[in-house]
Amino acid sequence: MSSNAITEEPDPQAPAEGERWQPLRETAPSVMRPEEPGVARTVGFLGLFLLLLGALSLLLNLTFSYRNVIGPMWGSLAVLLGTGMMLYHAISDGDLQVRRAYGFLGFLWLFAGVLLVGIALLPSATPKSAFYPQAGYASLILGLLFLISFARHETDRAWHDITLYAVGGVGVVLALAGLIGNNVSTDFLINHGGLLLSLFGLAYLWAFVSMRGTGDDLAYRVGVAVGAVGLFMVLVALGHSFLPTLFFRWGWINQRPPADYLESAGILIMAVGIVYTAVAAGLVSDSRFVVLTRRELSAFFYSPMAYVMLFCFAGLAAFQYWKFVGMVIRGSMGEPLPEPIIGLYIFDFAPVLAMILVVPLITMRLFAEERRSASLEVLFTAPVKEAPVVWSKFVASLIFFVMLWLPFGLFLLALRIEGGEPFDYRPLISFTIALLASGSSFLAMGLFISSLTRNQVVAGVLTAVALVILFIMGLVARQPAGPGALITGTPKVIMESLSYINIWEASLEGRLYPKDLIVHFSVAAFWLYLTTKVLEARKWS
Amino acid sequence: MIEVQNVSKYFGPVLAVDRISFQVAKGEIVGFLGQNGAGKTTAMRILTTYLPATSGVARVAGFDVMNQSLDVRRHIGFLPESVPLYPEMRVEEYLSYRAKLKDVDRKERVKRIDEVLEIARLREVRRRLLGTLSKGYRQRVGLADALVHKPDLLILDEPTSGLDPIQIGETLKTIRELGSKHTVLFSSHYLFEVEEICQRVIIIDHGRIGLDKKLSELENDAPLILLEIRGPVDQVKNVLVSTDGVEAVAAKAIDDGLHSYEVRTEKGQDLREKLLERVSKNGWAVRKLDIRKRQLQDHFMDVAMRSQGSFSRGGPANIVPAEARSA
Repeated sequence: MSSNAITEEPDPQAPAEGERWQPLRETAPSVMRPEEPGVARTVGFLGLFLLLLGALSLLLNLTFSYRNVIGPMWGSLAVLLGTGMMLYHAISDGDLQVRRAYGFLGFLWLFAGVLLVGIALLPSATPKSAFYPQAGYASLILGLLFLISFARHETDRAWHDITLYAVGGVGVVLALAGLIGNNVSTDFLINHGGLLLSLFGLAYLWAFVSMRGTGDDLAYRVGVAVGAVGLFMVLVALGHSFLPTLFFRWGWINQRPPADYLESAGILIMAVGIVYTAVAAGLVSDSRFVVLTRRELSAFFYSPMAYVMLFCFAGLAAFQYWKFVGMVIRGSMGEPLPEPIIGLYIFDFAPVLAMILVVPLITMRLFAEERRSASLEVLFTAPVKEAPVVWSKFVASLIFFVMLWLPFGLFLLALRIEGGEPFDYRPLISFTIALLASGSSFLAMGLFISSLTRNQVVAGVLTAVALVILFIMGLVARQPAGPGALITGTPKVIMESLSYINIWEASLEGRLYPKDLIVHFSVAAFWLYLTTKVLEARKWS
Repeated sequence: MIEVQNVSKYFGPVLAVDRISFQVAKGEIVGFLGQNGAGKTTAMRILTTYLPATSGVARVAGFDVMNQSLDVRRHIGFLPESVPLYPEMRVEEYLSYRAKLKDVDRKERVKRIDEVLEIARLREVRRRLLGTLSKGYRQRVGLADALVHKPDLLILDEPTSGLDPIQIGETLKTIRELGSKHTVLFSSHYLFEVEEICQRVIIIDHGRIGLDKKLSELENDAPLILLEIRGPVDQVKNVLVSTDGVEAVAAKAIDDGLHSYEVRTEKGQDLREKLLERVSKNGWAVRKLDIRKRQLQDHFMDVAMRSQGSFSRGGPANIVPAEARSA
């Protein structure tokens, strides 16, 4: 009571008898101030400036055939850099005018992309410049990126929906065009960008489904449809590859079918189909394993470490490629290099060592972090068993691991396209499988070590030490046999099998031994089993 | 909803939970009180199936926590004390992830997430990164997560720890409202919280249950009578003790000749007038006469004192001597 005087009336503030105490209205946290996109805005305007500068110089270079102050190379760089900076601005600035402007830009790009790709695909007699499809697909990428960032910021429901429908619609068109074209003509698939059409369609549909979320019925159905289309592609390609031959053999048809469908088109279409199905399953499925894997995978990309690793691997691939091209050129002058040449590209000091560094970096966080922050308890008080958790972390890290090595493959693709000279690409397939096998066994080991401790650094160091030991074992086992050999017999075989050096070398020479694969995959299964048991161990008392 | 029979839990030599038994019926709001380290969290972890009991049986919603742990987990929503969250996820994204893990039907998911955002008052931060949230909001995200699959039983481990008084008030209000739809077991070491919203209290101390009563019963417990009397202590005490219905008397000097007396009486009687009559018959001056219902605090202190006694007698009661274990 505020006054000392005796009052007749009870204090109106005081709660009446029997009434429970009512809490005050909560006001924390204090006022939310809209974020100030100061830096982003500067970056955006700088980007716009660079883009205009670059575009102008490119135009000048194209129209007048004399050398400009800014050459085409610097011009392209300015365009790329400027676009990147504008994209950054579009992602971080949600201001009404800014986002609408970028949204408009996104629609422009989308329109331009569809138009250019459409023109490039039109069956007409006029000779078309290679510029159309290239610019078309580049515009499609930009359009998608800008429209996604626009839709994320847009608060007006109508605009948001229109944008997503546009993205989804373009996705459907691209995917259908790819689906039909690819199955009708192998030439379309390989030489006219049918493969790209399918992949771009998938990217657009992916964006549509994940932006709307699978809680939305339409998005869910689109996701399921993508999966169904993927399965359909695989089945058709399988049929197309094998049935004509079978029919011919059974005497149902008289004409001998062309035999090479499987090798060129069949495998590609099946791969696209599998990618479609996998993406759809990853987007739509609510199975625990998929849900967990999705989270683990996205967790990788939220940490700066992932980008550092991706960047380093791209750099490493570039370095190896540069060395490799040098060797190839020297080889082409003097003695020709022995096939398969890609062994020289990958089986080298740096990539072999990178393996030792990268595995601990990927796996050390996985369980140690969850133990440290106690989020493991939250996870296991939901109806989730231990095994899906372990497997989801393993699969996510394996996918990330494969992504790291992707630049190596892309550089070879560039070599094939630019060099125009075919080389034996099949060791690349066997090496991919060998990489998967050795990667599985090492990542599973790292995962196990991570599950033992709550300290990431300890997990990382232990994993690295284990990998170094395996590496040295591999080196020791490679000593030529003879009277002075350090080890012989069974120990030598064991050491050879457990290390990754042998399987890499053999696979790069195009030899893939089932026994090596079995060893590595069973080692992986063994570590994963142990990891599951470590998690279950809290229940043994 | 919860049946616990003779559950014990050892961590190595440390006995964290010592043969506790209790039951919680559907629809009750039960407060789990105890000091830090009393065994509240361990008991809750056993109920959430995260840890197994060393011995004893516990059933939640009719399922055994050891052998039918997935069924149990489908029926409970658990809010752990420190609310670990993935810092890189956004609020809505996290709730959607958790809803998927907890089998919330796809068609209801968006609606359900909207509902829990409303209940937990998270609307204005739905797009924020979890890592940037304050303690209060993290707690609410944890609560929304616990609620998202409409569990029958909510187990909340210190839902108000680390919050400011206003947030505590809001949280308690929310829990009270939830009590109409869910059975709630929540732990706390603040007595007033339990008094505020619970129908029943379980005080746990050194791994044992010290008290398990309805709050309404506690209020009917025998009251204390407080007196301040000027007079010779021993005589006054004698007079007070010899009154019918008095169980015990404690005296404390206040001033020269003035003492305060705490008279513990038997249940169901109000002895104030009788005591006053007897005291004034002796000619002693009474400066104060008051009655105090025994509050939760008194019970809590009672329980704590009791175990403290056992401490001084037999050393730390919770640790089994090494010889005994190896034998």
